[in-house]
Amino acid sequence: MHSRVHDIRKQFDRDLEAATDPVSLDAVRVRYVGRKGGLVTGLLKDLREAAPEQRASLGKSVNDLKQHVETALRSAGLGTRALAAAPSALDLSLPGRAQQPGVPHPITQVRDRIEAIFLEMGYSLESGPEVETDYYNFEALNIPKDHPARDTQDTFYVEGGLLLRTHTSPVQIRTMERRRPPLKMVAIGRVFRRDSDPTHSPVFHQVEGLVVGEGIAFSHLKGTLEHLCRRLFDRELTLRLRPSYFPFVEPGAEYDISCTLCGGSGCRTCKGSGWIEIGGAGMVHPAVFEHVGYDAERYTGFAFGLGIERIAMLKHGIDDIRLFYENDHRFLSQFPA
Amino acid sequence: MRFSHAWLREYVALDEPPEAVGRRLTAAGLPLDGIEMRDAADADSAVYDFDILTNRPDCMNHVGLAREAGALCGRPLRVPGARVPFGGPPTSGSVSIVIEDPGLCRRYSARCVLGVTVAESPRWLQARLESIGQRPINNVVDATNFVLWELGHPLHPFDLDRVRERRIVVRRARPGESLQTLDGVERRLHPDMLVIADERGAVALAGIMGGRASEIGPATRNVLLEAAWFDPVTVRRTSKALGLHTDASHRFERGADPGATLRALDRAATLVAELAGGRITDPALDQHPNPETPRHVPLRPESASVLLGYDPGREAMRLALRSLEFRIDESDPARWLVEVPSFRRDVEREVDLIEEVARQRGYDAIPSRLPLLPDDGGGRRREDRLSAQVHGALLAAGLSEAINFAMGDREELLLLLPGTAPIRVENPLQSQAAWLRTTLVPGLLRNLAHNLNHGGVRCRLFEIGRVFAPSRERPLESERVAGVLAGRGLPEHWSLPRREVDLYDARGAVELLAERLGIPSLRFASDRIASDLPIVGLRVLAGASEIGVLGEVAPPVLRRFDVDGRAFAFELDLEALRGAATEERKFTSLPRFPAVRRDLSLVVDETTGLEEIEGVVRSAARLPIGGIQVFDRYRGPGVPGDRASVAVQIVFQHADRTLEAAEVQAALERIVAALRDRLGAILREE
Repeated sequence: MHSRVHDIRKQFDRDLEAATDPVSLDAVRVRYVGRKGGLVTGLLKDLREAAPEQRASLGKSVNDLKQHVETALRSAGLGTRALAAAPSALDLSLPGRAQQPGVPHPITQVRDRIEAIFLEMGYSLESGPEVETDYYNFEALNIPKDHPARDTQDTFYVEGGLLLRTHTSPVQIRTMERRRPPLKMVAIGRVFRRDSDPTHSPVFHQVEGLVVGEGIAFSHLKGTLEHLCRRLFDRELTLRLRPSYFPFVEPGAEYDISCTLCGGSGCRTCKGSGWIEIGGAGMVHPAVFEHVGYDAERYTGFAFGLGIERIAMLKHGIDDIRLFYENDHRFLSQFPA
Repeated sequence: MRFSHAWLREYVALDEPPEAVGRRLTAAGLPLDGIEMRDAADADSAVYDFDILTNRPDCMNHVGLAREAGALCGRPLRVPGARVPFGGPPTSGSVSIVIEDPGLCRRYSARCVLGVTVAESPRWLQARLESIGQRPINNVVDATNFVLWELGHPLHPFDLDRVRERRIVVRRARPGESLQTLDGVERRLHPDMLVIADERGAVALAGIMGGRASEIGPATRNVLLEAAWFDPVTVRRTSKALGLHTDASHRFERGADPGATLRALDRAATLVAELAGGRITDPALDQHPNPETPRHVPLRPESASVLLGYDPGREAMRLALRSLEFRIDESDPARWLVEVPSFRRDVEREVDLIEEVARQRGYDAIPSRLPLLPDDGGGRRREDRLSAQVHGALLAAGLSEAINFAMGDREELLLLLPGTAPIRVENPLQSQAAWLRTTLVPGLLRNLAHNLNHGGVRCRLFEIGRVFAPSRERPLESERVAGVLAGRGLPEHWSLPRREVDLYDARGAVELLAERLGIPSLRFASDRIASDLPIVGLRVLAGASEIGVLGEVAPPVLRRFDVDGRAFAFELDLEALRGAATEERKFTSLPRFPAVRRDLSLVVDETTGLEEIEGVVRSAARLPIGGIQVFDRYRGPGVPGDRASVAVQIVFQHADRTLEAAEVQAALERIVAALRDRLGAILREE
């Protein structure tokens, strides 16, 4: 008899699904819980004839079924009546049937956005290994051994004389080794530095851009960064370049944007300065071209970088970088794409 | 690095308020971190904190920074002079100097001040040093410190009477040699390190710190002043090896000016004599075996315009360079020859000169335009597109994206992927992140524990990322996609009963993935994975090759991650998924004739899989089958223990005609008979 209970339940579910108007719905009701000849009603009667030792467990499953049928009929009645009757018959305070897709990580969202901006400008996407050699991570980028600039990039070393890349700049070298100018590329990926506090994570993500060709000038770098930042923050903002030092570019720069929160008048986000630091950039150093065998007299180029976490923190007002790596649903679900 | 406004004003007339000075210097690449003012009304009380980058050791002192400020404001620099009185006893009468390794010590200049009285410095000197956070010690030491912060060249004073035999030898440390440095620490030296020694042993670590034995103290009567140039790499390595970073090493490792030793020496000697009395020896000793010739760098004004994207103008270029003490030879107007001052170790090439010009003008002068270059033609690669599809499919399956560190705990990695030894990180920040991950699952299980421990009722996460396997030359990096599901199932709504996630949720996610990627050959091997594995369930196959695993996370694994209850996981090789994907779909004509659906309720062996049933149905039907779906599976009372009741719906669909009821009925009978004969399936009566 247990299997009959099960079958009736299945059959009921399917019949109910097929009943989309009040009339057929009523037919379903009569068929299952009609006073005379209803299938569930019949089961209740049969129960009296069941063996006494089975009666308890059977009784429970028949009653479960009856409850299921009645509840389902009731809610279906609300639905079908909605088609025919006035909306006042519905409990309009109840939430709808939510679609519950997952959400992309906020880092991926920023990454996708930046990718799209560069793809629209005709850049190609490149990538490189996360475990790198000293040559690609430092040497070829004009950071020889014992260079003090290595201090600012606290490096994780990996057995076998390798390291975890401290920036995405090695992808510049790998791309130039493989291709001839002109080229426009971006690479986005994980980088690693031995540093951990609310604004530094030992693992974070960087965007690397590189453009090489004849007649590429510093002004093109400025125009490109301005375009990137305006598109990324979706507003008119001012870009500021400041001279800075990275061994693989010359002239080198850091770039800031006018504060996205206060617009430049000074607030907590920009620490009162009106400016927010975004990243580093510059004209490709001739020594880098020499490493990859490009003619530094003929070609010039620019390169730039920025951190994805930093952009995501700015856009969403997140104050601790470590939240990105806890993958707490309460955090992730705040950024539905 | 701290700078005093009043001190800077000794060398250049700065009438601007400190904030304005800070802004000008920031715009020229000397970024200001902040200004502190003891008295808001008194500009001279201002102390700047500048972040002087590693390529500008010449600005790590007040004269150097004043030179920059003066150049920016168009005002001359007043360099403090030092007039050592003539007629003192010759320095060579007090001390001798031998440079054993001229590669590591290019220059060594020295003077003595004889008959000093060591005492506290006068108030003005103490105040100067205190204003920038330096602790006054005594008049002799303070004088050398003052010169360091004024001119930038590090000096060292020795108690001349503690230099045995009054003989200075600049040499590499001897094996086993040690030295007690000024900070009282006994340091074991290595032959790669450069020391200042006397006849009997090391008395100072060259360019880093002096030794305790020859320290200037109240009893010191005669002082030996050293102004030298030491090799940056040697200083840096020694400083790192000993964990000893000093104001002197900071400058030497970035490159001091070999041309500056005598000026610094004379300035310090006159100050010492002024503050502590005594006679300055004269002339100085100056060992300078291979003086460097000034560097000349060509500069084509035209190149500056090309590189910057605007023409700064020749006059502006001249002015910018000259104000920073570069000398220009314009014999060839198209190709200037620029002489670089010896303190600018960073200027080696034409681009460096162009940066000097751009920096002085300020980068705001640079126009902004987009480059005109042909499109790169690269765009998005197939692998990126397919990764995005995987991403989209799992989001659609109700999993959210996680991103975890690429490093993990060795035991956890081995627990989830026994047999693949992870690669070690040599200097991890923490032991749980000391090995490169070989599987994404441990990271996701940590996330699962975090979510459940923070009150989450469900956790559905996936990650796409790289894993690392040892390989001969360099680690093999390959991409994986993994997911973890636990807690309440979806969909969740008041109209539906609650349920917990199970294997079919995980499988459904992977099936959606296969559908989106167009992998019709994706199968789940129903031969179960041995139950002693970390993930118990199914092997995922694409065609004949195994591309991953899907199942329930074994309880011992969950215990390791402190997870109660059940969890389901999958991990697939992303490259294999990409390899099996078909991006281009071929169109199939839509059926023009109605389909006929028939349900069968069967009782089969509990080990009989759907694939087998489907195979029998398709081979026995002799009518075209549009599809077979299971709509119920039941075990329990009414069905024998080793059997299961399975209900399937068969869709008959002919491409060219409408099917007759009789032929469908005949097909159904053939199917039932075949199922009975081949699988022992019996039809259940209603």
